[in-house]
Amino acid sequence: MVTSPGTVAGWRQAIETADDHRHLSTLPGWRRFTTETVTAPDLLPRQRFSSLDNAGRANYNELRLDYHTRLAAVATSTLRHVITTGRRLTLLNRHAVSARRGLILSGPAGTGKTTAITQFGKTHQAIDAARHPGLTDRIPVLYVTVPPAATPRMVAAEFARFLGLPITSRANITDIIEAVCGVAVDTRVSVVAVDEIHNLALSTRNGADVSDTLKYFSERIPATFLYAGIDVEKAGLFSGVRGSQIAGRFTVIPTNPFPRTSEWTSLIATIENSLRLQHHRTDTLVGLADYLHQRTAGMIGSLSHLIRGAALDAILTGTEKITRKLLDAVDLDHAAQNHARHPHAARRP
Amino acid sequence: MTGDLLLPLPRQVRPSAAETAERYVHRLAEANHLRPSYLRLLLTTPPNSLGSIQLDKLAMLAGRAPANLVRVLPELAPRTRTPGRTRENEARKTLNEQRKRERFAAIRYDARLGMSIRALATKHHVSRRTVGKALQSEIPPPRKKIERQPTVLLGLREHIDAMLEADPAITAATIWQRLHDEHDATPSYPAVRTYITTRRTTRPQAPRLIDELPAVPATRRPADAPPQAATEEAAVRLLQLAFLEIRILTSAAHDNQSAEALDQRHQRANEIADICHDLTPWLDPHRRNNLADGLRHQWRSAGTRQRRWLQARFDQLGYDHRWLTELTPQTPPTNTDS
Repeated sequence: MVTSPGTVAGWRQAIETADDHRHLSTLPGWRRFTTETVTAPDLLPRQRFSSLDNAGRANYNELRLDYHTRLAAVATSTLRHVITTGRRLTLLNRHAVSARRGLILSGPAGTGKTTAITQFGKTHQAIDAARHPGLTDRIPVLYVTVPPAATPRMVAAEFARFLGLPITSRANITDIIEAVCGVAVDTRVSVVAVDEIHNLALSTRNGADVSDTLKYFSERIPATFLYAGIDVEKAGLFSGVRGSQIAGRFTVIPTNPFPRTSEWTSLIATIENSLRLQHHRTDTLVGLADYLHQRTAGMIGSLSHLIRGAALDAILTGTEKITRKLLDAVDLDHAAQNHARHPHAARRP
Repeated sequence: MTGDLLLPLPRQVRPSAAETAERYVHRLAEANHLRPSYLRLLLTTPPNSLGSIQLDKLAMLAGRAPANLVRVLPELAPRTRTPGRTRENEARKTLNEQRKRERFAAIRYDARLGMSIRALATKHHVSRRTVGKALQSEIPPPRKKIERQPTVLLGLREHIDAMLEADPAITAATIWQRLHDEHDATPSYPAVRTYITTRRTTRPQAPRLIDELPAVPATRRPADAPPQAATEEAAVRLLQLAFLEIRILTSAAHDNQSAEALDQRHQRANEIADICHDLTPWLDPHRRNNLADGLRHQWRSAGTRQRRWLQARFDQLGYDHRWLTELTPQTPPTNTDS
């Protein structure tokens, strides 16, 4: 989806096609995500902005609203770490016949695990496309989320759903696994990203079965497996016989809230530079770095939500700049609100 | 997968004009490592029924526009029925039967006036066999029903029979599914079901071959009957000799002869053809039992010259024809002896 400045139809098209298969966990949605480039619209000169008529202003605002709702991900140190490690692992696994190594992202909610894992997928897909130009039937990345209270059949069905294999109640798990593995091998899947892995509890019968199913998939599909989940060490993913096998094969990258360091400031500066507001003065947000850290507890998810929400408010109300007052008005998630009220209490996921 | 929404399959294959839609679905299923029967059942309305392939559903799974699919696989186009076509066909059939009855009546009328079979055939533009039928009964015999086995089951009947034998309670749907999944076949469900129904309702029959004899009826053969195999063999060889002789008699090599000699030759050829005319139907596997009776009838009704010819040829073949030639002829030997 390209929202180049000046194309009025751009945002309209973006909104109209937003509903069909926009989930990352389906192949069309994933492909759109990986090929999507968000281009920042150009700001109008002050005189031209003030002389816009109603229709022109509505168009211009819609274009910018659409842009601010999907700001590009910021390359944080964690994201860079994940991409480097993931890239290394995919190369190491390229010729491994068994016991492929994997990667686990573990950390509290809102610390950018899903963003990191999907951005790595996007990068990997771009690398694969560059290595095999013109081939459209390759599916280098497979992205699934573990459904809550998952059974092996549900997980296998998630894999099939991503690939677009039709699954009805008649299909048994053997058929689904066979189809998924066959298609995955044929389409050269080389990275399998499994999100929400904390939904899998190894202590329960179903959880153990799902873990075995994932293990079986990793044996059949020659790909690097990436797991992401909330505090998986505490969820018991590494305990027991199955857990020890996972612990022996997977590198764990913890994702944590950002400390109040210079990286936090530069992160805010990056986001601020990507804003497209008429009257916003540069470095306003950088000056509010302490306030923002206190409000969001260093959670990048909350920070992105806060700034984007304030930007949308600024466009809608016509003030066209983000101020502390505007930021105060944006309601954040429960965890961040709690932290702002009791800054020294330990944060729970 | 919920509702009617089907997404394009991850692996696509290109449809070919040289294949059927069923075969295309099979290739699509194989490319995506799905059971062919499973994918096939998704393409019907309602889903999981055993109907025909729905164009829109196949188009969704194949990720192609319906119009493009129809261009390659025209059988997928929705069928249109011409209203009144059945009634029209029925009316045509009734009219045809009525005309046939009228013609039979006309033939019978002329026959009563004393016309010969050959003359009747010429006058009414029918074959002599049809004249024979008209003389036998005034009601035309009904059309023979052609027994056609669907070619789609060629080579599959043995497998179906084996499945029925292994499990007599097996359902037609299961057999259909196994044929699709295990035997790489694409029969429609109705074809399979019809075959299974006939297999269950009729006694098992050995496959019908053209040279195979039907079971000999339980009735005892008469004591004076000639050996069947030798008679059949002789009849076939006789037919062969007759063809050769007619060929020689009508050959263009004699064209420079006088018109009288030519006439004689043609008459002779006609006589031979008349004797052998009924040999072919008697050699039919179902009618071979009547071969001896037929030859007896032929012998009795033949002219002297024809009888002489028959005897000479049987001698030539070394066939023991005494059972036939010792019979007294029915017709006075004078009528053809000209």
